[in-house]
Amino acid sequence: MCWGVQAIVKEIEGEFAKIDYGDGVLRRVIVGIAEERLKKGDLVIVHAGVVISKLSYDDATKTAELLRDIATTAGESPELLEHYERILKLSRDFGGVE
Amino acid sequence: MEKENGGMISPKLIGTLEGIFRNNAGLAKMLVGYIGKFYEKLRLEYGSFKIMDFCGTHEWTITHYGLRSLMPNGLELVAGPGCPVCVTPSYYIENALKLGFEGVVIYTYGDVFRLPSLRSVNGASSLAEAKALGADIRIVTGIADAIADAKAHGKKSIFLGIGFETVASGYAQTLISGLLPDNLKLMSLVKLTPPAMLKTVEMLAKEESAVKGIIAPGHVSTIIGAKAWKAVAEKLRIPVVVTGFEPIDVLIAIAEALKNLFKGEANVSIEYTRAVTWDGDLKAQEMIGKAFRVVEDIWMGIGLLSDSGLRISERYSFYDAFREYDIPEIAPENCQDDLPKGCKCAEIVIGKDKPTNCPLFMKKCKPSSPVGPCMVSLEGTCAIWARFGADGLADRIAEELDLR
Repeated sequence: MCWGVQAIVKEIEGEFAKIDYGDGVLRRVIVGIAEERLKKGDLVIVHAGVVISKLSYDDATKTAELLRDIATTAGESPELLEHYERILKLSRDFGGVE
Repeated sequence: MEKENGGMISPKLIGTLEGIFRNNAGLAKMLVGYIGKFYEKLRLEYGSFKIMDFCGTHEWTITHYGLRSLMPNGLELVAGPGCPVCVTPSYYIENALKLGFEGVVIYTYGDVFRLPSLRSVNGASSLAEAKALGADIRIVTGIADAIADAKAHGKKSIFLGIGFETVASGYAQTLISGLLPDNLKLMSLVKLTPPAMLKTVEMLAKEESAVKGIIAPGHVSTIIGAKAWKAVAEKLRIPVVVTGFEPIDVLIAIAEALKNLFKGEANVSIEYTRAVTWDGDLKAQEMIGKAFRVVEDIWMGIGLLSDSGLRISERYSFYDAFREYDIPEIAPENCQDDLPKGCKCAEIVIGKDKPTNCPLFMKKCKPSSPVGPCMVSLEGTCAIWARFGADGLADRIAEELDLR
């Protein structure tokens, strides 16, 4: 049941964080990892209302590139890729890239 | 895509499947060729064998994208007990039903809401039915929502905490940081995955086709780290690969597992480097260690497993629903026959049998009217097969395109 969704950290309030799944709606979730690891703009994975991981921006970018290659070969733009790119852009806009 | 029509797959899904295979045929062929090459070498030594995925989300990816149909004959991908809703004994749901009828507000995730109990309580056989009969059952997407709501109304409440290590750190945070209001208690039914993985593979060891590689859960591993699987790999002497949830991640993990098996390396490798590290999140592990105690727990389909469950530690017992409402732990002897008649969830959960071999599958037991627990959760093996893989379409497409 460990369905995880990528999201961007918009605000940190102690043990809670407000995150955006890329749809512009802010949702309040529990931080289940070290709070000091998190900052605004970070890419995270949220599972059942809990931040369970901080994603490496570089590795997530590599995954997006791999998906883009597949999509280019296939001549289509899958929804998944759009989601990845939207999330990565949000992270850049909010200063999540170190 | 979730249209239920007696096992037939919707036109939209056919389009998706065909798109994956036809448009990416080059990529699929490359990976399948790689997997096939190693399998040919390995079958001389092992004959037919299995790779087990543990996580329900991996099973979703494998079935949704038809990855089974790309495997060479003799290499079987099987699902393990990676759906916490599927392995939670009915006893606990029945206790929640009882409390619901006594006026306690019950907070639950959406899939648990529909989970059928074996014995009915006041005429209700699920939390959904109890709600229809007047109990105050509220669906939430996480414990943060329950905290806000319970604070607002102040009534006696419990949160049904079903899940794996991924939810444990969040629950631990609420206990340690004092986030729960006094009226909200947590019923921790959290289960730990490595002991179940070990036991499941051992249970299948006597089968004709044994498990020779494991695809370990990616999100659980973000918390506990890839290191948690080291003992499993060493004890079973088979490779474990921690991987992500895109179809490409899973194919790479299968290839990696076969390569390591061929090289005789019973080790743990991480494919999901964008999220998983060897050590995991140490703070999360520390919080879990502080807020919970590790207990012997009962897994539906597997039985009693030592060190495989989490209950709230003495220090935070004020928030423990078991203590507050005096709920005794289930006695192992009462966990027998914990499934409806004819239901094969017990065998399906450990990868010993397939949903399509169950006499109830898509006949009496469907996503809209589940009988067994594996048909309830989005990540139960039966629910996934019902939605995406019941009629062998992926096999036919793969054969037509000469992909295997």
